[in-house]
Amino acid sequence: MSEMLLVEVSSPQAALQAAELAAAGGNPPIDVLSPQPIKGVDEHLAPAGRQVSVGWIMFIAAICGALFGYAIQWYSAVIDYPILSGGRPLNAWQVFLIVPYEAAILFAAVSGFVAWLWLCRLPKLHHPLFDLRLVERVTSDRYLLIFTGSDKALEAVTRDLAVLKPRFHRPPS
Amino acid sequence: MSQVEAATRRWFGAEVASVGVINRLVMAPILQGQRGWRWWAVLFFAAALSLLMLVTAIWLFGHGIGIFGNNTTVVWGFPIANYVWWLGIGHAGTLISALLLITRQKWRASLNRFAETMTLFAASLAGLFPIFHLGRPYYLYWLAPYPNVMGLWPQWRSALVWDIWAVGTYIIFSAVFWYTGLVPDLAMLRDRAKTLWVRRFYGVFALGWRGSARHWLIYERFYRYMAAMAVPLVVSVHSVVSLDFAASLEPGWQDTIYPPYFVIGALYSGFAMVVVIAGILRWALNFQAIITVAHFEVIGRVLLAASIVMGVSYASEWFWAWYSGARAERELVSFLFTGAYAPLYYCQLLFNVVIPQSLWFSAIRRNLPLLMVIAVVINIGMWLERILLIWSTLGRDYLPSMWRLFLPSLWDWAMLLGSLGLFLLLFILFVRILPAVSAHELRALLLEGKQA
Repeated sequence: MSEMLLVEVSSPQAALQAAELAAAGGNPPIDVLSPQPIKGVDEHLAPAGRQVSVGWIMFIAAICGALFGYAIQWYSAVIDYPILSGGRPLNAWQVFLIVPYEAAILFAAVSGFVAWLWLCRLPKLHHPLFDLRLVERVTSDRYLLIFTGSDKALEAVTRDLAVLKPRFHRPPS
Repeated sequence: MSQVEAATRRWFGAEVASVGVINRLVMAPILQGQRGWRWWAVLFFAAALSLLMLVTAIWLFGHGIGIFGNNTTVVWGFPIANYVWWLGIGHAGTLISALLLITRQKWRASLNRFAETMTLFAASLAGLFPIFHLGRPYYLYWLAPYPNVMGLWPQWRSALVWDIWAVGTYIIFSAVFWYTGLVPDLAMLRDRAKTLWVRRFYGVFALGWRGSARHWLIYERFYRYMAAMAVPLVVSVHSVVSLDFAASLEPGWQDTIYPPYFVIGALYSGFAMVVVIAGILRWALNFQAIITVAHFEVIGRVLLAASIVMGVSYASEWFWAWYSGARAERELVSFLFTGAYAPLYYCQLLFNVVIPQSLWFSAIRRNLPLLMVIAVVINIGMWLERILLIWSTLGRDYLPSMWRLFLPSLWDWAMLLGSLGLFLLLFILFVRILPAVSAHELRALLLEGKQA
């Protein structure tokens, strides 16, 4: 069973520096919790498995939306319910482009939202970290680096980061 | 002070020394707000007007659109003008949050949340008006394409069917975009709430957000892609609305200028509404330090630019009517300037084109009460534009025997005032339940300056 070490700092620069130092020492944090995004901090995290990009999901959804939008117009207006009005073409593709355009954006937005939550494994109303009081401040003004590993590895992290004078927490496992 | 810091400091008051100040300011109206008599007074006033809208809607559903001033010539009247007006107001919210995000304008951080909320409320209200105007509102669902035993499908070549798709997409999209940006702030409220039930309330909607670096990474990508889609969406929505007019064969409507003209008009009235809301919020919620005079100054410039484009658009309408030589088009323009609605038309030009020229002066852009008066005047002017668009064209069609005027009924006014009341009611509840300004984006902006 690996142990856990939480390192609390109070500025985004310190959090970035701490992640960098720990990664350089060979023990990158498994996660950093912060009230707003810290630019570049993800480069110093322990590598995670490959993830699907949210952009690709949205792009594919947009294509599907556009195809669906056009297909439903074409099928209903040409095959299933042709309305002859003034000799206008049944497959009026010029004006049939409006619905696919809107449907593409709609599909991309909704599937992007679902993908975002799915990739983050949210909603997850309770997380083991929420049992710790200090986690309450990471949504407003504190920064928390999370390390896991053997006792020895965590001691090395403590030594590496001592120069930054952060606060160390060892939650009971 | 470095250049970057000066660039970000410009959007904060002097008292914003740390992120703690921002958090306190943003959460104060929600977690420790004393609801003074003023808040209750506005709440009851807004609720009474909303009730008026409800009563009007019930009366309308019982008696049909004959209760409005619509007649056999001017068949569109107030509901469609209100629809176009409200939807236009909504557009500024999306433009502020999306266009300014991709163009990296720092001043959006203080405005985007309530502007997006304005979008959501205004677009939803707008969506109600075509339904009120359907005549048989209970057949609304016939506009949706679904396999049914009647064997019916929508008429896809009709502009009104395009509207459903554009406005429906717009409302859903705005809700998703708005909620996504809200999640980190809801998590902060969850963690700062003092009582268990408040904690649970925000906890459920925060979805368990904990600010993980891996989550932020995906969040930022998703949010940016949404912003990139929002801009073409917003342009398409009011363009499609303009096609309700432009795809017809009516004098004054069948112009190619309509889509851009409607989009700029939407931006114009929307930014004017943002000025009004920002001015009130700043005073009512003590946001002087995060919604600064500098913000009003830049919006003043946007309004000025839009007013010039509107002026050019009006002038091009007159020019093409004259240049085309078409009798009905010329008749329409002379009716605008000399007909029964001429005083309203002159008001429209005064409110939308002439008065906003005062915004050339920095002293006026920085004078909040005056700027708010100008913003209200612009909103009235834009509403006049939308109603005159309908009254004039439909009332002065090709056949002189069909020429008629429109006399609004009391129900017309009740519906318009009621919708304003419902907007106010939704807004006054919003500022007490959700953070009216995005705390995490303001913090990021402040820290960006400090880091440099």
